[in-house]
Amino acid sequence: MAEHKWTMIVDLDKCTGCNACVVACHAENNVPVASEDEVKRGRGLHWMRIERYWEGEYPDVKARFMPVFCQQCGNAPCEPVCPVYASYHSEQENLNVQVYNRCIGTRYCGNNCPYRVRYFNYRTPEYDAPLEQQLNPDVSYRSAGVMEKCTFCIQRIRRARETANADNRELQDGDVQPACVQVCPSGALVFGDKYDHESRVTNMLPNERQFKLLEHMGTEPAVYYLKGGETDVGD
Amino acid sequence: MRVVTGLFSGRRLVVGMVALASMLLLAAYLLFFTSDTTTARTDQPIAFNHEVHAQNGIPCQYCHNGVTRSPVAGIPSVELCMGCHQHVATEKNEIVKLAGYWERQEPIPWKRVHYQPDYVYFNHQSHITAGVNCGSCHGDVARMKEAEAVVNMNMGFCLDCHAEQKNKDALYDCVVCHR
Repeated sequence: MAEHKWTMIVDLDKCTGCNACVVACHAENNVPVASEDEVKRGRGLHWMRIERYWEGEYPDVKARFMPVFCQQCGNAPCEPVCPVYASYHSEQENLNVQVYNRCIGTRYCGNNCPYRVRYFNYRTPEYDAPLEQQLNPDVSYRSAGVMEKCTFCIQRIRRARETANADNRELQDGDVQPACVQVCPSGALVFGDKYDHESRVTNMLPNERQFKLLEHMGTEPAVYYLKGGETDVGD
Repeated sequence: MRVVTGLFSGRRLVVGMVALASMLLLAAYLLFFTSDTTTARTDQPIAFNHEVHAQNGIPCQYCHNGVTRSPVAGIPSVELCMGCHQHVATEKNEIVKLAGYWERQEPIPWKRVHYQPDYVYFNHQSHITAGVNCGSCHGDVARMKEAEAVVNMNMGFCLDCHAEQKNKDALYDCVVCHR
């Protein structure tokens, strides 16, 4: 039985589509930057992306933004298809985990993911000196042939727990903050432990605006979206 | 009609045997050589003697003072060495070398003895907090003239110990070390 249920809440009313979370994620997790040509061929890598939707007709047009990243499904379609158990469910962290050094690059997980949030390394990223100095030493450097995805900044979760253990105390709400949450200027992203009755995410849920992506598929995502705009939230 | 020859007959058998033998040899090589994290004796810039220091009652953590608060144990600064060696054994050859680094304001280019691959995230802090002795993994350094990697720190070595702990399930999670 896991002690934590890491949960993210995305308030679409607050998201301005500024992409700060995307940049922070690239920096924190050593996500390589693909060239224009590679992106054209569908080989871009973004653990987190902002999907943009236009609403209405000109001149009355509105842009809607939706940050999409790994939904950390409770019943993940990516897990049972991996032949080498590189994509597996961590009972301890209650997260989908990708073990890079186990991955053999079949890409089954990416093809089975309904959210399209798993990315494949078509080449080993190269950094001209001194850019290699900005790589985060707490996160593996993935080479070609390896699948990768958002981890909810597992390195920060582990570090927070190790620090809490050394201080002989329990993890508290706010100890863990993924990079995207840390930089979000409008506070649209909230992260916390849903099993902690005092945490911020627990207090925000249930919410009349809440929904999950492709909820009907039974993937049980750990990411809650709060509807934005003038969307009718029903009775 | 084509005659189907047996898979294990004649020349095919020989070729198959050779292929099998070479695969076995490769597997054996990979198993016994590349997984070995112990290294041969290194030529350190200064012949630092762990035994002398330990026998004089200096605890490991006096010099490797990162262990309680950091993933890495740390190598002491030249300043820390000079804290004692401004006065202790100043005439000895190796200490003269040390004083040279101090005067030139250069760090000592120590060679790494214990090595872990880049995808392994070992944390000294958690192990010290859990009460693991330095010697459980590093061997009896207090009796080594020159620090040597005597324990092969591969994944099996880690898991053998993790399996004996009370929170075995938590310690068997991949993300404990790989992320």
